[in-house]
Amino acid sequence: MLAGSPMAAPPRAGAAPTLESTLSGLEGVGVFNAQFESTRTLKVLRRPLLSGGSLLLAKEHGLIWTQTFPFRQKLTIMAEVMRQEIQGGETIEISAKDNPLVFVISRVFIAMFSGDRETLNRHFSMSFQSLPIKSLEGQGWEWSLEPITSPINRAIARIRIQGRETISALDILATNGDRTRIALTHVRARSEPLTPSEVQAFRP
Amino acid sequence: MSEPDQNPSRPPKYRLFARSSLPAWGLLLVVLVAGGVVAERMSRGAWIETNIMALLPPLARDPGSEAALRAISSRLERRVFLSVGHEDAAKAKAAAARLVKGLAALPGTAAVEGKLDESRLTAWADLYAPFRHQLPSPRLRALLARNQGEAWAREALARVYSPFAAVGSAELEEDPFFLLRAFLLHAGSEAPGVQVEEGWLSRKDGQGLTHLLVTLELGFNPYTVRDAKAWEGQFNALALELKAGFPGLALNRLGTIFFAGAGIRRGETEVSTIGLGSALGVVALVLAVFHSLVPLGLVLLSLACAIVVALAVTMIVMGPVHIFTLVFGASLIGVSVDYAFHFLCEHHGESGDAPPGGVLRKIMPALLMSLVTSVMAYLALFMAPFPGMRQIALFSVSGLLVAFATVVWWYPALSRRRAAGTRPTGAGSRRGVREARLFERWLAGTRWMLGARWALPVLMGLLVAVPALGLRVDDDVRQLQSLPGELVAEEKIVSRWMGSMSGTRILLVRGDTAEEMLRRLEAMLPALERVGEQGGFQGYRSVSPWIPSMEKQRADHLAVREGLYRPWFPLLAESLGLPPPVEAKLLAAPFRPLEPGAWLASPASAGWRELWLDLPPHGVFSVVVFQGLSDPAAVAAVAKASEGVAYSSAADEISVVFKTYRDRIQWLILGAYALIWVLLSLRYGLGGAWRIMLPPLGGAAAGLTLLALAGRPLNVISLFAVVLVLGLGIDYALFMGESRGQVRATLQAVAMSALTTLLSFGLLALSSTQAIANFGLVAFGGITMAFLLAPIAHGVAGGKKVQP
Repeated sequence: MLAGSPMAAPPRAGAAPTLESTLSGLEGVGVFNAQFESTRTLKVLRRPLLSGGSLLLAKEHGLIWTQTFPFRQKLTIMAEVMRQEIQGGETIEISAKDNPLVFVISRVFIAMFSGDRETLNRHFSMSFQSLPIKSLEGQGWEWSLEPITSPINRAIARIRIQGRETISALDILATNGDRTRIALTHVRARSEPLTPSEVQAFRP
Repeated sequence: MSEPDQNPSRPPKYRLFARSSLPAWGLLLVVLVAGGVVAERMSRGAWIETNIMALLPPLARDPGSEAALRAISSRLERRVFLSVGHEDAAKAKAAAARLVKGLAALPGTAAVEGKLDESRLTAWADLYAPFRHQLPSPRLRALLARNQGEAWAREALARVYSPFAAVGSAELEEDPFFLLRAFLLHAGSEAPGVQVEEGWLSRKDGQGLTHLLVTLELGFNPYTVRDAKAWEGQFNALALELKAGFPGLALNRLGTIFFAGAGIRRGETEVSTIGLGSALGVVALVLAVFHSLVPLGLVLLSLACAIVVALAVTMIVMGPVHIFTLVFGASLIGVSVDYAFHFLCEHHGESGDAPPGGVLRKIMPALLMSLVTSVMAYLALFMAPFPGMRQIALFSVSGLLVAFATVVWWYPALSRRRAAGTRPTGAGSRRGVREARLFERWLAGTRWMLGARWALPVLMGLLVAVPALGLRVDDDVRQLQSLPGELVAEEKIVSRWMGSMSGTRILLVRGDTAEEMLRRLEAMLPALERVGEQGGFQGYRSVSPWIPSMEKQRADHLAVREGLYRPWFPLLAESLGLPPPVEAKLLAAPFRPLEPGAWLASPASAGWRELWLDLPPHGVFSVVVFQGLSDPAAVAAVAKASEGVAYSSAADEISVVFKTYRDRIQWLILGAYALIWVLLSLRYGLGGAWRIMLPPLGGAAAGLTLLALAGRPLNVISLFAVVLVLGLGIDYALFMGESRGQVRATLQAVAMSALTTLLSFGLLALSSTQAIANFGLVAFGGITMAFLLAPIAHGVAGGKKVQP
């Protein structure tokens, strides 16, 4: 699955993954595709909120978060503008200046997937541990980020990222005890640029 | 000081002025008291005024608006905005932090704000949270008006699912439709491109620099020279240190203090240049003519006393002395030396042991006539309701009176004692001969002009025709203030943060109560926003988004409950599984008025409450300030069509005032000189009066001709130069007309006076402020011509035949 991508150059056989090696692996990724399944557990709600869809992350362009279940919504997040398209609703554009919090969170999101050390170091204190379980897909690890800057630290207590070759799940723990788990499947990471149809997806 | 005169044979006319030594001592007392007043005021610091607006009469509007505008502009004047930019965001933050620390330590800084602390960041949410049910964002309000609450409900739903929206349990429970979030987003979105980064208000520019905003408030009026200079000096040192510590740092400034500082520096340079220039000119001339420093001492004494008393009188009557008064006051030097020179030349021409009382008696008619005409002309100016004019008139009149008094009461005694020390350059010396020839030609020239019937009409015709045909009028006040380009560029950069805060073009909204004012503001804004959409301006700031009128709050509360909560909460509850108590709480939320007082008292109104002004008994006011205003006419039209809204553009209104007063002063001058003409006719007859008036009129016309030839426009300031030319020209003519002794001495006095005056006004023409330079130009041309024409008046008082 990862053949040909820089991520396919894992640490030398036998060497345990480190934060450094994981970040280096992520850094080479230009385009990242995955299916996601999100489970939001909010204390006030009687049941967890389930949703699913796909995400496309391109370092040079931004992030497209397409939710297909339980209803369709597409979030296109670029450097200075965010577009929200909701099934049956009007398209709303929000600029970075209008909603700094949304942009900080999505920037952090992009930084995690692309191993952007500078952004991550600025906003988080990070720890990393390799998990003892080995499988065919490589050695697992858990990477934990604790926000140190406002406004993220007011909303988020901790982010836990799990993975093997690549990121497989994110756990976002809010300061008030709410939890969001995003599990990723069908992950495809590559260094090649976006295809024309993918570029088209970023356009309104 | 010795008694001025004890000559028992003094004529009665002279007795009037020196019956005893009392007036001399009295004058000394006046000068000493004046010196004390000036020293005391100067030590207090606030004695000089550099604000151009202080020159102007109160603008013609109701006293309430006037008071409101003054209060708001004095508030805005104290604000300083600094933008700290660096390629490296971390370095920009470090530099800004150090700047904040340094600024806080400067005496004169009342408050400084850089990195916002958590309490400031949450202050908005804290203030508005209890009122969220009545604070829909404009978009929600529009949706509700179209009965489209469902769209908003579906967006809210989508937001709950989004991993980026950071929706938490608490918010969902209290505000499931995210009204507070949307309100704060909209209300705070007026400075384009600005975001909060780690507590700093930050903005990225096109060159990749990260700019952080630091704001501060000064604890003093930036127009007070001493405080402003002290603060700016320390600020500059701080800025240099910062730039050295952070190479590549871009520090941009916006604030009245920097402009005021530039104005003060220029004013000081010009005053000292002009003052120095005329002082040097006087010294050189006196030395050349009298070969002694004693007359120089007398002239300087006259000048010093004149200026000290003029300053003291102005300070006592009018408060702070305007920088313009000082600039023109420096030229008073050229005027009051007339009297001194007239006395000294006359005295100098006599033999060493002639009694000075005789000299005084000879020149007294000329001095008195000159004093009366000057005072009349300046009093006419004093009648104009134009503070700047009145101050300059007061300054000049009191200076002239004192200069006159020193000549009359001090000179005879002082010069009698010293007379033996001076060496007269009698008609026999070589230089005396050269001088005599020169004067003879000059007299002959003017006699020929009087004789040749066509010469004068042609000259005067030319002098009148050129300005009549070629002189342009421009009353734009902005030519008075030429702002340094560097500051203007910096202002443009910093004003991207918050719009122009200079407050020169604003809308002023008034109401008897806060509610009335807010309703009027709300009623006006849709029209104003249409002007913005058509490109009339880039942005504006008003209090409206932050504090809606009670009427609007009530209407919104109802619309939100009936258009959103009641019909669409079930959709949310069903999809998300929200428990029923959430619904019950939403629908039961009572209306609670958000009072303006609460907003004003909250830290959330920081940076906005300065747009609000409670000014009993005039009412409650707020201002709308603009960024990138390019169509002031459209904005003015909106104001005109809205109740209780006034458009104010200080510069535009002042230009109108300039025009009005230019007109008015023209008539005042004409009236004053008509009176003077009548007075002159009584003494010299019609023909004599005409000859006395010719030099000043010719001078005035020549000044305007020069202005027209230089392609410069006429305004009220250059008109003031015409007044000076008239005053000086009439002096020269009177001295010549009343000359009873040697004509040579009178010519010498007129020449010396004209030369010193030319020196000082020649320097004014070099001023970097166009209006002052124009003043100098008119004075230069006018005095030259008046001086050349002066001998025309010789002999009108029936004096001896011309004997140079």
